[in-house]
Amino acid sequence: MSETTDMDKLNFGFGFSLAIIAILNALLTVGKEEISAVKDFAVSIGSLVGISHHWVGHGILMILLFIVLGFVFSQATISDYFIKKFSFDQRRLLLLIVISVIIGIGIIGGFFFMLAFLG
Amino acid sequence: MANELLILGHATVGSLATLTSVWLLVELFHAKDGNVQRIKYLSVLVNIFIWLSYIVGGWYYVYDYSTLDKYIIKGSTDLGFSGSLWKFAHAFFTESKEHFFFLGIVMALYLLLLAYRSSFVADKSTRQTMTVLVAFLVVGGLVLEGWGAIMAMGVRLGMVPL
Repeated sequence: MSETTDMDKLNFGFGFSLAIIAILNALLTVGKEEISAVKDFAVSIGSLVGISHHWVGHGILMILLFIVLGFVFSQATISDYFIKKFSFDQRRLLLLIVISVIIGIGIIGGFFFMLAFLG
Repeated sequence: MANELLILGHATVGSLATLTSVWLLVELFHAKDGNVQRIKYLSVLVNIFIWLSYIVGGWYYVYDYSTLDKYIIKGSTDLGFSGSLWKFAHAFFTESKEHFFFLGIVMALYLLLLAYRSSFVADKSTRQTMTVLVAFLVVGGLVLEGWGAIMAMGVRLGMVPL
């Protein structure tokens, strides 16, 4: 049995979503520091639950996006497209997740390292 | 007092999340039909500890750290603090830690999905994915515990009156 064709759609959708969130999390982190409108947006998301703090909004946004994107990429038409187009199997998905997470960590760590020690 | 309990609680459940992840890692290395249920339960437990750490630590971060401890480290003439010798404790360690944390949450959620939806004993590549995710949680947990200690030291070194 081929792992590519048998790949569980929810598994693919949420794995792909995790890879995207790893990068989005880093971009939102840098964006909040560099663009005040982005930070204000995160604060406004936080205020939806009664806590007007950018970190609360950031967390809500990442977790909700992870769930929403997970279900979006689990849709048969979308997951079939990506799985076939990029020959996704579990190993390739894992590789994508690892690369995204390392890049995401690198962006956040590198950005704050520069601000703290080189800025 | 509440401040101290929050930070101790955060560190404790964070440590429990790391320890549970280590246990889960061992179970995954020896995955067989006999321990499938245990792997599922441990995945739930890892999620519970990480979410507890998120909520308790988040409460401390928003209501205590952001209103006082941060200014002890950075310095504030209004509050009467000259600033910590370790200003980098906030500038690098807090700032990075608070944003790395979200990755742990989504990784743990994905781990839970794999534990309950896949036949990871038979499917080696799914088991590898779970193992890598848990390894990230173990290493990340240890790193973030250490960074929390650096933050605490940053506050301690800032408790110097102007």
